[in-house]
Amino acid sequence: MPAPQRQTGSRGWGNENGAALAFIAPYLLLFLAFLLIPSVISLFVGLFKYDLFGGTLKFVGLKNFAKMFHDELFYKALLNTAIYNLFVIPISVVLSLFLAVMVNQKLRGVSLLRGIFFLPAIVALVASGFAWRWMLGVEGGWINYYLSFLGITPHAWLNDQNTALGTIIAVAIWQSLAGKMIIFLGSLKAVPEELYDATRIDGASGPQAFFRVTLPLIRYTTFFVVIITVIDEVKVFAKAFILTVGGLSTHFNILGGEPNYSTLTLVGYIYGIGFRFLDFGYGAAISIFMFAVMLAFTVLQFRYYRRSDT
Amino acid sequence: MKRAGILLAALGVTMILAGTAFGAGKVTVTLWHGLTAADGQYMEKLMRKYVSDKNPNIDFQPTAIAWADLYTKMKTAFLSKTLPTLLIFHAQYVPIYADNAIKPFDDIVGSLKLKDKMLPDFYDMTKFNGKTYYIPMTLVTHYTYFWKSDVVSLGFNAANPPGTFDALTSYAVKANRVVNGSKVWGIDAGWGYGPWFNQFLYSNGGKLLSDDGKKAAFNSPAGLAALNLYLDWWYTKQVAPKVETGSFDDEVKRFVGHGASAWMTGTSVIGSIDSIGRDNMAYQHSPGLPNAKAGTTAYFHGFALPRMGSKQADLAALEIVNWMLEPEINADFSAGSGQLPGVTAAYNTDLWRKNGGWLANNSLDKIKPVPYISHKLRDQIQESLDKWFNKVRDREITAQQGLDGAEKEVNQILASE
Repeated sequence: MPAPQRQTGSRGWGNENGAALAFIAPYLLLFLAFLLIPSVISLFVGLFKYDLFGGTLKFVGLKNFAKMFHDELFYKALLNTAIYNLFVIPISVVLSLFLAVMVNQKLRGVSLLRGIFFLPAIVALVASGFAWRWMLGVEGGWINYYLSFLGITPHAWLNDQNTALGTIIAVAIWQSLAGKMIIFLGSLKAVPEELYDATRIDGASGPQAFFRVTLPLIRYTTFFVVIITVIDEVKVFAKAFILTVGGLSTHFNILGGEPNYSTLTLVGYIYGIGFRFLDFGYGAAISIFMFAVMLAFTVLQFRYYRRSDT
Repeated sequence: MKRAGILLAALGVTMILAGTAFGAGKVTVTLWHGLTAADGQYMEKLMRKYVSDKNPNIDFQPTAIAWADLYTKMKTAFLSKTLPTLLIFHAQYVPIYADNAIKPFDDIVGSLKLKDKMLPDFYDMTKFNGKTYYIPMTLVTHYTYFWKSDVVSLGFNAANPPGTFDALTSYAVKANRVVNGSKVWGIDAGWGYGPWFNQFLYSNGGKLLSDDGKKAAFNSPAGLAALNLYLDWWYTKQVAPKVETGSFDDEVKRFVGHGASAWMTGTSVIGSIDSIGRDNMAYQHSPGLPNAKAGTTAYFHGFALPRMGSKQADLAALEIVNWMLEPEINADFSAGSGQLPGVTAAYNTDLWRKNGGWLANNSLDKIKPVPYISHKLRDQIQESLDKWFNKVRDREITAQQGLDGAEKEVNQILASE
């Protein structure tokens, strides 16, 4: 009896690829329906004045883009987003790496510390946002309570336009550390112990070993973390929305970004323009601008890392 | 055999259900409203009473949604055709929703006899472009809240609170104090620009838009006086905080705990939560203050029928609306929520007289409520005003520059329609 032959040729290819397609089909369909097709449509919507209630669509060419460059609130949102990212991206990446190095030490109770540091990642954003709002409150907020022992009078951190954005930045850094720390920790675990033994024999100090051995070996992870942080943080919306807009007073501030637009971010502005004013054409134009900026940043980062890799 | 028995039993239950709840013509009335505080709970309680006592065939399903979310949800629900049977929202939004989200209902509103029942200004609000889209239920005015003991300790007569802007300012100067190392402001004015500017503007004889709604009209001596009053409060007299002292909840807590202003101003939300029924706290509707010269800044809360409702559901919804316009019920809700009744006869009830309604009634008879921005582009207009006037408040520009900038931008918005 001849041994059964392994199926080859186009039929085998078809089976394998059919199965693969079946596996990715659910994601692919969702990707097409909720990402790719809307993204392509938004490219066109940016060229129209789209009155959703009236059901009219009027071609306006590049007017929406021209409007953007004369819009004060757009610049305000852009500046706020830039300031936010200027602080959140470097600080959260560096701090999460620092935490990962700390919890990578062979110390007693370090597993518990890892768990504690990871907690913010598993708390829902909305829940933690509300918790922060309460903690930062003037009345009954424990942050103000403890600060009062240092002689600092209770302050409405989220309601003062001079401190609101800074407070959101601090909360965002806290929230984003855990996920990145775990990624870094995984990468640190993969660094061979022998290399550290060798540096010790060569007389290198701890910091020297970190900068000469650890950092170069985890550079791909660092690159990955930076990329996902940029993509994630440029889109900042929910954190600012939960922390500074909400409650009864929102009735008076239509776009959000309270107080006085000091926490209005680009995505927040797009949301306000689109879903509060129903000006989808203008909202789409800002989205396209934002996409272009993010694409440019990502390409630059790829180039930088490719060059530094060679 | 056993399976057949189960099937028969299930069929029996289904038939019983069909014969009661559904078969007997039960009609569902869904309601969305933005009264998320105690006022909304009180209103729902009154509406449920109608359903249980008068028409149990109505399956009444109310939902309270924060105002900002409600207005967003209304737009998306209109597009997905999932609006409720009945809506409660502010009258100034009628031009935005008329003929898309909400429908005129002149054909079925006749029996309610609105013109006979309502105060003239309330009745005016029912019409837009000559058709009936809206039934105002109550008027939310600005209030001044004050603690009687605080006011007396400052040397004022609690029975005679400030009745003019000037009096309020001078009283507030005296009320400014330091408690536990923190500044306590004489006036809590952390309420955003839209409501305040509007009130000051109209009190000074100005108006926001031209009568045809096509041009900005606030760049006037009255507008300048309105902005200067703000600046006077913040920078000269220093009786109001330049930033909000906390979240809305924080401000209420501070006030109730005597840690904040001697006089707190706002709309009646706090009235329904904290002031009414407290022996030591008094409140005064804005017909007495701060509109010393004219007007009262107000929101009308009222009903509208979304396009999607069936005739049967619309009629059932109007039954509930009519119940809320009964003088006793209208007065009961007003007294329980701190809002002013829209039904003339409500002011004659003992219930309302107990809560000082005579004051509001006297004023409403003489003074027209200040209209909020009532325009298809109202959101954009208000956003522009807030933006420019905040710059004035922060002293980035002068009051006149703020008015000039806002006028130019608002006219651009109006021209874009």
